[in-house]
Amino acid sequence: MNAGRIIAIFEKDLKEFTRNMMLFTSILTPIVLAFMYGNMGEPNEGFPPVIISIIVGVAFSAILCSGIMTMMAEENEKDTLRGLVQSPASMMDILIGKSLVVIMMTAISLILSLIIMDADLSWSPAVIAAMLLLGIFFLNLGVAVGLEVKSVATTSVYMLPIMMVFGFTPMLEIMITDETNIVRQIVDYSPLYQYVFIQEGETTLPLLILGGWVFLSFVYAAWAFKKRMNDEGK
Amino acid sequence: MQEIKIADVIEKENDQSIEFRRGKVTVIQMPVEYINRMMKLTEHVHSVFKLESSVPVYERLTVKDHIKFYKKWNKSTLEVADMLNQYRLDTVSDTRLGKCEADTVQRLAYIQALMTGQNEVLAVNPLHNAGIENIKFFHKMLEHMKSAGKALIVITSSTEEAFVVSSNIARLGELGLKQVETEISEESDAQSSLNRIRAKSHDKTIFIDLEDIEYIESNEGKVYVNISREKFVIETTLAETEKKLGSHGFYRCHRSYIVNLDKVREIITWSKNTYSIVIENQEKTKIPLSRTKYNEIQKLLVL
Repeated sequence: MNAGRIIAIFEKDLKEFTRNMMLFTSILTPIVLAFMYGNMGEPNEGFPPVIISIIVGVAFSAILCSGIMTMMAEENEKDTLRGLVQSPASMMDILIGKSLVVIMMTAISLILSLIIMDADLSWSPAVIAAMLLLGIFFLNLGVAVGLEVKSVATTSVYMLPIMMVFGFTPMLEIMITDETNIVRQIVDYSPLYQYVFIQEGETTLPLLILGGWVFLSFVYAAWAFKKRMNDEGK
Repeated sequence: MQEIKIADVIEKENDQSIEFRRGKVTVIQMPVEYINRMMKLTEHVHSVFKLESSVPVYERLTVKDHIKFYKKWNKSTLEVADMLNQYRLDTVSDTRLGKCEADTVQRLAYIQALMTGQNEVLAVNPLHNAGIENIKFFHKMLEHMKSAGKALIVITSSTEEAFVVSSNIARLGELGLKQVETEISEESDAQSSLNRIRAKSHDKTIFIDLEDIEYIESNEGKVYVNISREKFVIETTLAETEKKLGSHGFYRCHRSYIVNLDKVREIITWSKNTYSIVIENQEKTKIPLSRTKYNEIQKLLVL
């Protein structure tokens, strides 16, 4: 790991991120949603955790996950990393630098959205831990896909299911009202729902399940990284 | 990687090798297949930086952003402002690469090669599509690299391009690596009074007016007459042709080239020992001029 290189990549990608309309407008998605939800329902009533979890899910999947995926895909497509990657370490530097950019952008967008919604969240250690774990999960997913895809166009093939399954999970509640439905039963184990449960007061079991998801995402990312390094050569 | 074994490149038995030598520039002309094999051989060798005629760039970043990024990534001691200035990029320094001309991108490729931390550089057809300006910048880059103690190997498929880089080139063929001779041994005396020469085109014999000929070159034992984008084989040697045409305004400017003095557009000095003649034609073909012939041809070109 090389701090100088991480900073070099960070600065370069920050410029690229702000100049790429597709990426930059993704920051607005949660904010626009926050405006919409913020004006819904009775005032002074507070928001159910499910609504907040949708905002969190959208922010993580549309900015964090899709952002790093798109940035990596663009490098792969244009072959711009050719002269830069000389070892697994330099690939790691690139991934860390890029991650820092999307983490920063997600944080800005999420904080703004929560302020707009005026949501009074209980920032207990469990909620913070859940937020971090969820972030790591989406970041790993984005990194893994980003390492694999060859072009920006292909990312949408991965992006759509990820957003549908992991980002918008609570939306299912609106579509399938029957609580005994098998889909609703399965969805109770999805990462975003663990966040909802933790927000509602449960801690141990949801955190364990979330930990399991994060572990799986690490395995996927590590596999993608190893595969990529093998392709790059010894 | 210290050296590339020639046996691996030509896939025949050979004990020669191409060496990366610090502060030295090696120029080798070779067929396209060998260039591809050289690329394959060095593909996963991270100690060798590959310089090509262009470089993939980030379209949304400006020229200055790029150089800054190269500097930071490689911890280069070269200054950004200095690079912009030396490679005449001041005027486009704040232009995004998506809007830049190909020759700007090519200069960025040269700058990246300079700033890279790797000390071994393999340049593959680096002057492909290069304009006269960029050839000068390439020579500037060579000087920078030499003084920085980097080892550079230039491989190219075109002999003309190789001679633009250096007057001292080698050729890689089936039999291995051979130095290309540039000094002319035979002496000539003019005579004869032909106005046309005979050449072969497939199974036809054609007669070419001398005034149409741009230059005559010898390549791998065959002598070719070049007339506006076409090449025809003639069945003599270059020395014989020189004897015949010497009195008709032709001049042996190089061991492998005879030029029609009427078609000389300009002479370019790339560096102390490297000269090219630019031919008056569509492509502005550049043919090599021997160091020893530089003064003589100038006398012949003016009254």
